[in-house]
Amino acid sequence: MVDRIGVVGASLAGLRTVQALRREGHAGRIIVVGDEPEPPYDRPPLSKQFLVEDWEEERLRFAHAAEADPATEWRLGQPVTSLETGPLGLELEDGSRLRDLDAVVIATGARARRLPFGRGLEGIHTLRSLADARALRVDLASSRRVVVVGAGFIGMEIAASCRQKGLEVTVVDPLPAPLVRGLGPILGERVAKRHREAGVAFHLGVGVEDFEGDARVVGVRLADGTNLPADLVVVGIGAVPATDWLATNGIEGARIEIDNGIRCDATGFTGCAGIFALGDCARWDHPRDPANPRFEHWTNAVEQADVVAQRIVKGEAPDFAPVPYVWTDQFELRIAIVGEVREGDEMRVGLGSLEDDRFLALFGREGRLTGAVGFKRPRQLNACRKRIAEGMGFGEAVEALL
Amino acid sequence: MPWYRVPQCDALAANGRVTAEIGGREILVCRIDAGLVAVANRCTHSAWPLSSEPIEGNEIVCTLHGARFDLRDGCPTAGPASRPLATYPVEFRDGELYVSL
Ligand SMILES: Cc1cc2nc3c(=O)[nH]c(=O)nc-3n(C[C@H](O)[C@H](O)[C@H](O)COP(=O)(O)OP(=O)(O)OC[C@H]3O[C@@H](n4cnc5c(N)ncnc54)[C@H](O)[C@@H]3O)c2cc1C
Ligand code: FES
Repeated sequence: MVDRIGVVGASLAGLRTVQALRREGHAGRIIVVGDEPEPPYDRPPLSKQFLVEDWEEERLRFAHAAEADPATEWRLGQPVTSLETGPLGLELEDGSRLRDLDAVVIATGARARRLPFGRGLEGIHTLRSLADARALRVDLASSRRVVVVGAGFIGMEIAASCRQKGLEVTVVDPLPAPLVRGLGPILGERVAKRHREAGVAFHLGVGVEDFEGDARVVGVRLADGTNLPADLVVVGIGAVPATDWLATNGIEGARIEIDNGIRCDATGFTGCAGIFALGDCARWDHPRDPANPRFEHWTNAVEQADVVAQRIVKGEAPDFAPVPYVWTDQFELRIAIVGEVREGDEMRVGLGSLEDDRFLALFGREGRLTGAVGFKRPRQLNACRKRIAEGMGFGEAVEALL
Repeated sequence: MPWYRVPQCDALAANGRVTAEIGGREILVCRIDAGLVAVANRCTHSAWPLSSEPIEGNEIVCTLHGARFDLRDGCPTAGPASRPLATYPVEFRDGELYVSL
């Protein structure tokens, strides 16, 4: 029987797992260890309302009953340094050990990727944690010119937020349009248009070569020789799964595979007795997608938590075969994406046009509906998510959904 | 807390819901299984208007990112919202609809 459960990572995936375990009827002890000192909080607002509306930190905090539950222990501000197998245990940085665990759930998320240069220069930021956001917000208050490196979701959200605060903003990316990976070039360009209208400048199709400055950054040098003056730089070039602590320690003999995330079956089981993983740090088998992608999406962590909890409490759970879902808010744009948008996909737009701020775009490949993007079209987009899961034909989808 | 009359309350009979701006606040009044309720019309997650969002039983679903709220007490029951919707006393008097803010 599973009695004592250790959860590594006290954020969205960790907290939601605790809640789901209790819903599934787990009455035993749960010990959650997290390296951040703050109680669990929500990350999406860090690049949005926390910067634009100066949200109080309190507002980010997840309200949850597990805080007051005597059977759940929170060990915060304390990184786990290694995982011991057979018997299962965790070692914490302060040297203390949690022993005799019946299950371990790894929910360590991801860390912001950094550039190999500019180390030690002041004024260069990444954004992943509340500590990062705090430092960024303080530094923005005394800055005028901001360069954002990376035109992915987080980079573009930060660009919009900084512009809304009245700062001069330039976005740099080696790809020819922003958000290409999430939205494809046409919709990426649609978002760029909104940013340009607001006064955001872009240097696309060119990479960053170096940062200028002695103690503090004063500029960004691009591969084409351009020198962009900057008081502050935000690097938003993606995230890497936080699995380094596992890779270097303590899993000798355990059959945990780490390859762009902790590999799991379609229920979050690592293949090593009693060890599970979910959220941004994990890459699950996907019954319908041979690429077995790793998702860094809010909703994915929440949905996986239900599956892992079932798997732990009941010993089994149905294979999870999600159609991915992610949202992004930039200026007044409310964008959400279901499924996947790939280069070369067919695209049809309806329920509005690309010129409007409300429309639905469907994407198809090999005759099937494979992705959809909604600009302020949440209900219609949710319907697409179901239809993609059912394998609806693209022609039929265009008829029925647009 | 003063009572305010909600204009165009015919919509309530026709659609089961009516929205109004009262004292600078957007209010949604709707009829659910549990009776008549009045709540703030903006999702506490990212301020999406709830006026035409689906109601299932006693819950309203904010389809923008999937938050659900129990309309009886405004409390979030699922999804990304952590804070409750503000709720307001509401009643019919002489065929007119009133909320108290
Ligand atoms: C700025 C920002 C904006 C975002 N916006 C959106 C959005 O608009 N829409 C969307 O769908 N998604 C968004 N996301 C993504 C979403 O927040 C993540 O998918 C989600 O946080 C994943 O949850 P997680 O618990 O798996 O990982 P995380 O939230 O990263 O949590 C992992 C936790 O584990 C801790 N940890 C790591 N290593 C250890 C260790 N060895 N010991 C103990 N603790 C450890 C970490 O410090 C962290 O607290 C955004 C992310 C960021 C950073
Ligand atoms: S605005 Fe309602 S769920 Fe996000």
